[in-house]
Amino acid sequence: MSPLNQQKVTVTESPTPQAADVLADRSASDPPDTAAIPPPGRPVRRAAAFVSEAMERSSLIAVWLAMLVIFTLLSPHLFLTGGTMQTIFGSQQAEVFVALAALTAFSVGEFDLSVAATMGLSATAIPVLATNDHVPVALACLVALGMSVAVGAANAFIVVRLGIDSIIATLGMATLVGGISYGLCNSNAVSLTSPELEQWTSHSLLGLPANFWYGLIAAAAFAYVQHATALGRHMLFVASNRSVAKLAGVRVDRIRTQAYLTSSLIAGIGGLLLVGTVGSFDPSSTPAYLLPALSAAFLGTAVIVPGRFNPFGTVIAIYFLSTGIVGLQLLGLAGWVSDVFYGATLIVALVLVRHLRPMRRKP
Amino acid sequence: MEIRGLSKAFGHSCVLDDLDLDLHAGEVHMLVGQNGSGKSTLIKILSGTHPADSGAITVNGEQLPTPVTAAALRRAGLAFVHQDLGLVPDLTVLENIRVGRYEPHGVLRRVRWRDERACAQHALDRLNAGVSVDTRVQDLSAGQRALVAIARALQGEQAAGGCIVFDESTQSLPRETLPDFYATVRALARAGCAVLVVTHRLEEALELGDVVTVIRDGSLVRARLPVAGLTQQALSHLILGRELEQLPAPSARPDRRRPGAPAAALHVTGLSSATLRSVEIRVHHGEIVGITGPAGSGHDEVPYILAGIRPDSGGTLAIGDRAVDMTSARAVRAAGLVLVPQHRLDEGLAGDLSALENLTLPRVSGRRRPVLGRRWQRQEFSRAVERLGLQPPRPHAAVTTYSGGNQQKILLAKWLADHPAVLVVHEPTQAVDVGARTEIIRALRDAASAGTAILVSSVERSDLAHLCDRVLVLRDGAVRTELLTGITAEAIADAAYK
Repeated sequence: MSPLNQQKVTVTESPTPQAADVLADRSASDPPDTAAIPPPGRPVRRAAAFVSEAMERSSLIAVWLAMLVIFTLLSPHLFLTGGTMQTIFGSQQAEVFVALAALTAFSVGEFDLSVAATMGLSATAIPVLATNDHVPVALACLVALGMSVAVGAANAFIVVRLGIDSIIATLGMATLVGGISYGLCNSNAVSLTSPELEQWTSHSLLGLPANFWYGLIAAAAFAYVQHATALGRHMLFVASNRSVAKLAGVRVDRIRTQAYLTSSLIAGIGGLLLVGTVGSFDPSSTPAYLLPALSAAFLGTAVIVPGRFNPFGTVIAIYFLSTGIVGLQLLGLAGWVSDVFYGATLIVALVLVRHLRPMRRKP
Repeated sequence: MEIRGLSKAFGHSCVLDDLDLDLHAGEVHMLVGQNGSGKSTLIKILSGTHPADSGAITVNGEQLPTPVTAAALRRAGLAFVHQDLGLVPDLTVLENIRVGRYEPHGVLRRVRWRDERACAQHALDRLNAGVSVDTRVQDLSAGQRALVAIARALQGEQAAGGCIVFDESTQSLPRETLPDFYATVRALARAGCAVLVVTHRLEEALELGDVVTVIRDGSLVRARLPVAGLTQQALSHLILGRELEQLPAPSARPDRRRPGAPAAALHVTGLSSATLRSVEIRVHHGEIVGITGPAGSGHDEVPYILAGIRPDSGGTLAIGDRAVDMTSARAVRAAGLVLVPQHRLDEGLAGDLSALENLTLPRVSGRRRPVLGRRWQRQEFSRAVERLGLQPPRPHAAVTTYSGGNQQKILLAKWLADHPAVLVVHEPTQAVDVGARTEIIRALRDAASAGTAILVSSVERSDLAHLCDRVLVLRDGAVRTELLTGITAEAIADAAYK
């Protein structure tokens, strides 16, 4: 039982009109996005609660800004340059999509560890089809996305219909799909020359590639579904308690299936954008995409909507991680530092989230 | 055992305030109070889960350290039987009893299983429990499980001079095993144990105890009140600090079974499962029908079969004049039948989500607008606060931060706001204090007055007597008696057990 369960529940003569007043007041003059109706109390305390809430929601952003300042001070001529900013914000698109794919599964309480492999499959299939088999690039892209969705359908069948644990099933699927990708390209890196696709993915807008904006659009769409639609609310309950969702008439298995399909589709799009930008893909790099994506999804629960999987938190976490790694590399630290940084940040962030708010969350 | 000046605060809220408590050997001491009065916190301090902010706990003249450690508890002979009994179902009785107490021998720290068996068997024998140490706990009856939990708590202690605390332990026991359980508890006291029983059931406090201590808002209201001569009403006054609102007896309703009456809101025939044998139930609009019986009679399965989450059952369900597929939770729900299940946090509410989200879940889909909107959700929440006295009125707090009684109110409000044609409720007042119980009963009666057909499955006979127009008593999977008039707790008990 959490400590708050012990809070006094005083039975006063007429608690209700007072409570109703609080609620009525708020709905009359409500800013559009309020987090909580604070307990009736002195304004000072309410303001303090608001400030601490705001700090909590943006703590990762604050650390990120602090990191920017520190790196700028440590390597002033290298860090704060257009090129570095391009590297940080312009090169993480596949990662953003893989992380959003993982997030789709997480937000209905499932694991999908095959997201990186699916991204790799899509990024391998497009150049193989277009370059080796001379299929038109648009068709190759469609086929690759179709293959990705097929991976999702297989996951959904195994996990939802056959009832296999999602971690084990999608881990197996990741290995299987990884093997197929190698087979497709005979274990060689593959490349693609397609100005149209490059135009679509790398076209620059406000100094950043179209890719970057696609990531933001995807995150915004995700956030819209999560917060503004019945589907989002249903997903929340499917993740939290399937029996409750089922008794409320929610189609639990359908939502889980859709999550797997969507997850694979998003991962497939990530592969498409990656190969469009870079022009080539080496399937042996696929596994390196998985852990940062999962880290970002978890790290994202520390920001924007603390305690919940949320897309903007995830995107912020990705750029947070890439800022740290690029900064450390500019300081002359070798490649191993990225793994250390990913792992350590994730652990520290989750420990902080868990312990800074012991009163509000269930142990 | 003596407790002096015990205080504990979580953040700004003071949960225990300068509490004193004395336990004497040979006495059954009842500790009562509302949900959130500080009972559980006291037990958690005693068992070492939370450290106390101040105060001292002395057992047989020896003061326990703060926070209390397991070793100190064992030395002092203080043992606990918790609410959920704390047993692991798929391990054996032996493993459950000896966990944490295995005695390692030699350099290799080997456990001598023969000795362990003897210890466990001895602990069971002292309670005259006819339970084999090799049985898996999941194969035991609820009554036997309680004995195993008690045996674990009491092992290795001299019966006299020890002290045992029961924290709402009867929650998980079927009603007909209570007399045996009470006899076991009294025998422990007679053997020289000091017994502290925490409960929120007034009947239990008066039936089992020698003395009663009442706490409210973390402070002592009355200490060591002798049970003899105490009435339920006097005790509920002490617990609540005000007179319990007396609900008038249900008014007589017209007999719906006369010819020409409209079709029943709920009509199920041939209801069958592993336990149930072709049960027929009919509930009319505005009617509250109770269904009860001894453990194993099948009355507690009915709600879940009707709600469509027990596919291994048979029968024909009609809601209004529509036949409904009873194997689909979705179809049943779409036809207007909703279930308020017994296990709030397993099937009723998502504990880590907010009260508001839980409350509005059934109604987020089917709204015309593409955007969810906040205003209607907030209105629903304030209506729940108004109608059921939900406390505290914080829509964005997680459900688990509410007390048990208020969780039950959220669960009930979630479905009442749906204005269902048929409401099926299982144990609506379980683990709910007397104040919340009255509010829940009133809300159910209001809903019936507004036309909802209500089926209540419960073993709380006095609730049924307060609520129901009719009570069906099941035995061995079939309706044995239908009580139409003169529904009292005694009449229901007679029908169920005689």
